[in-house]
Amino acid sequence: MKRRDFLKWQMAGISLLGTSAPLLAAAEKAFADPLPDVAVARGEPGPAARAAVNQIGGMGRFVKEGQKVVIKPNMSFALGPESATNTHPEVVREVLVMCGEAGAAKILVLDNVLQDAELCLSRSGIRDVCNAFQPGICHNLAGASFFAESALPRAEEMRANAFMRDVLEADVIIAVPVAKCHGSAGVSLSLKGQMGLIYDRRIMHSRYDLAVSIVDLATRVRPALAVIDATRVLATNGPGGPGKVIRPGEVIASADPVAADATAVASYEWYGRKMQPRQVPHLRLAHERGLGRMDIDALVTKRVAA
Amino acid sequence: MKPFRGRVSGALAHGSQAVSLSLFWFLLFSASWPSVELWLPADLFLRMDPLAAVLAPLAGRQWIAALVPGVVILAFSFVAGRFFCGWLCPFGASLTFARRLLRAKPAAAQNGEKGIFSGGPERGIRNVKFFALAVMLGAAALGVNDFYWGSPIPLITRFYALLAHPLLLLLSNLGLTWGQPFFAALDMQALQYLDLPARRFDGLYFLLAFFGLLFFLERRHPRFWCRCLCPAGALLGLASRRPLFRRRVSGCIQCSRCARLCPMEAINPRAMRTRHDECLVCRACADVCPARAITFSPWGRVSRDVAENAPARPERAAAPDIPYSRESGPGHLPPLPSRRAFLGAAGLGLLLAGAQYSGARSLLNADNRQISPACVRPPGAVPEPAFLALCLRCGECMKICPSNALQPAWLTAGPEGLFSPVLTPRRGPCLPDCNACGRVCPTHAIRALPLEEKRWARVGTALVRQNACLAWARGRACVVCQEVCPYGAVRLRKMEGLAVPAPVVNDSRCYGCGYCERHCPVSVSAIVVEPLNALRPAKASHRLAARAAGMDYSPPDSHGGKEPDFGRKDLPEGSLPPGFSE
Repeated sequence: MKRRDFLKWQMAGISLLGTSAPLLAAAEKAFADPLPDVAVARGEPGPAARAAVNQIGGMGRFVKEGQKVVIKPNMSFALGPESATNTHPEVVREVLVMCGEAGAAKILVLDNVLQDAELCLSRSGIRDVCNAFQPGICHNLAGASFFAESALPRAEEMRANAFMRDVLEADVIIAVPVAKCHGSAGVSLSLKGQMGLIYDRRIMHSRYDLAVSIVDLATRVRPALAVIDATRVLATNGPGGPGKVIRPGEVIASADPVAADATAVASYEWYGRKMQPRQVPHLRLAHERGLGRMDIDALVTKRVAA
Repeated sequence: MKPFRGRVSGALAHGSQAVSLSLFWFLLFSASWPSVELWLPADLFLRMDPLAAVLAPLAGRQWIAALVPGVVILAFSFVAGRFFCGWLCPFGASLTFARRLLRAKPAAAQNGEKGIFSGGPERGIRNVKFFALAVMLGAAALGVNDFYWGSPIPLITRFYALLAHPLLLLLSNLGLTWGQPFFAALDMQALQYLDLPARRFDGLYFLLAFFGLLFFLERRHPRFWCRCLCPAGALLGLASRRPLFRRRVSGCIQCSRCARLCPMEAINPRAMRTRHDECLVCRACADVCPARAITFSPWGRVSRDVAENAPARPERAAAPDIPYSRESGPGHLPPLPSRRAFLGAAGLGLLLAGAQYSGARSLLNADNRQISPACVRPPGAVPEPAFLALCLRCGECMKICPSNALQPAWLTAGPEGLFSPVLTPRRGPCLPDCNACGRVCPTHAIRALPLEEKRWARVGTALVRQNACLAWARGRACVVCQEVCPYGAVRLRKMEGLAVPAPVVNDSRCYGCGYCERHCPVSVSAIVVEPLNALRPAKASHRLAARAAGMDYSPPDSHGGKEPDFGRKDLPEGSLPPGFSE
């Protein structure tokens, strides 16, 4: 069976499931098998991403018909997928396809990258997969005209910043980071990655405490879904590398970005060490401020093979 | 003054100017990284500058093959006069264009009125260009480049590249911003999200003042630059004192239409004599002559219809007009400044060169210790004295630099380095995979290095200002510098008494690209690139030079596949990975 045929059948199957969703929901309740909090799927990047999202209820749980979706991958570095500094393009593609299947009206893939934008978008391979899905949805937004000031009422330190207009207008934000370590934040995952959605992120280093302001940011743009690409993990010298790349071949998905990040922290070795989620300051703070849970031992995690 | 029906010689010259200027614009504006080479070299017009073609090799003491077209144009002027000025030069074409826009009329046409700038044939101000040429020649003889002040093609290139181009982009972006809601409503995503990267350049006031004045003068005094100031025009003028194809008059009825029309005032009012060294060969005079008395040909042929009415031997019959010819000299050659004046000006050039060698901040004979900390040169720049001699200040490298990192210097490179390119990482870093600046440099002041070589052409070294660094001075988690470094040259080190790991630069891996300086969140960057340990061999391989200097950076593009040996090594037993806490 060709992949295309496979996908067609898959889509047909999903639409069938979609029509029988109420029935299914009832069945689910009846069999008392609640959705896991975190799903970890092992396999090729694309199928693993789909399997992980399906385990926590499928994209339909997060994206409704006619909604505006912003996908935030990592594409800040002018390097290919093997460097583990950017999200794998196949993971981005699968998330796009799933959003399309869920009936999203408008999907944008946005970032405000660090290195030369043209190189980042092309070498990461992410713009190509986006254009193949729907031309002109992948953008690096750096000009001030694309941003609008917004208050962060629940913030502790960073009470205002400018956000991408499209992000402020979006119904759903999906974080699709790659798993990598980070010199000052410990790890750069779905919470840290949201720094690519604001205009002035330098201020989070220079004026505010980085960990506190990452959590502040999450009070305003908390992703509804986190899909962490851990097919390759940059385990040392992140976030830009070059560093040691390990290859767990996994994708982590959760409706709780803190739980997803915590799972990634606990699952892999950072600089050759096993670390606890509480050892990442911004995860600990996010947990304490009620933005999600890092106590993954108390959560239901389901591991599947794609 | 309309030409007669069917006479189009003048239109030909204008047409050629339009084509030339359009091609110049096209080559300059379309040249961008990564597609540097089009079907013509981006620096085509720069290669045709006759002044640079003669003086750059002289000042730089080297043969520059790319500048041969300029020499050819100079040689060809012996045959065809200042055709380059009238038909090809984008500077001259821009002035003509400005004149059209301003709907200006030459001063001579306005009741023969003459202002102090009119530069009429009798005015000594025309001689300024010859003096300028002599001064520049004198300086170049001692290896000093002063000709960038007058070399026309580099000047006009700089005008369009550094001033006109950014203004165009600004205007376009303004339109795009205003149009955003409109594009969004029409779902025109390509336009909605189009954001042309703005270009900013240092020291545009000079260009504004210089060209503003010249364009303004065009209203009353056409081609003031070309006839009074341009040293390249002077050089071509010297070659075209009696060109083979030149303006010849026989059968003149002395109506002086041609003299009033001539933008260069190269024709004396009695219309008989021509200053060939001022004549642009535009042939507009031939179009307006009611007697068809004017030809541009190697032979002084007299057409019959005119000859019948013409006085016998008209050239002899005309009264001697001193500014146009020396009756005593052979062949009525146009007048020149005296030999003494020429020699004096050349001597002045020698003196000027001497003064520039003796300046306290001069880099003309400098060792690297004298270079100011901000004078980071583009990758592949030849040693500083040669660089200063060869750099035309055309701004082509600055135009093409994709991150807008190359900026014209004010005094960063000493007074002798005015307008030469310096790498300004705070504005933009040097991209590891780009070698565009060297590829467009017409004189190879920046060497045209293939990428494999350019990646080793270290421009400087990043230094952490520990008293300003957020991590070092205030114990705050930051390390953006480590985050962005494409060479893995910024390491984090746990230091005694510091709560957070602090950035240190590994000297043997640092290229000086300046990503760190660009992105440092401190308002005056706490990590700064200085020209320390820059590699600037004149001819040798940068790769070998870098290896010899103990550099161990692997080309950045290869790092994904390779497993580097550092990272874990940096983590002492019992300590935490950077960014984690207990």
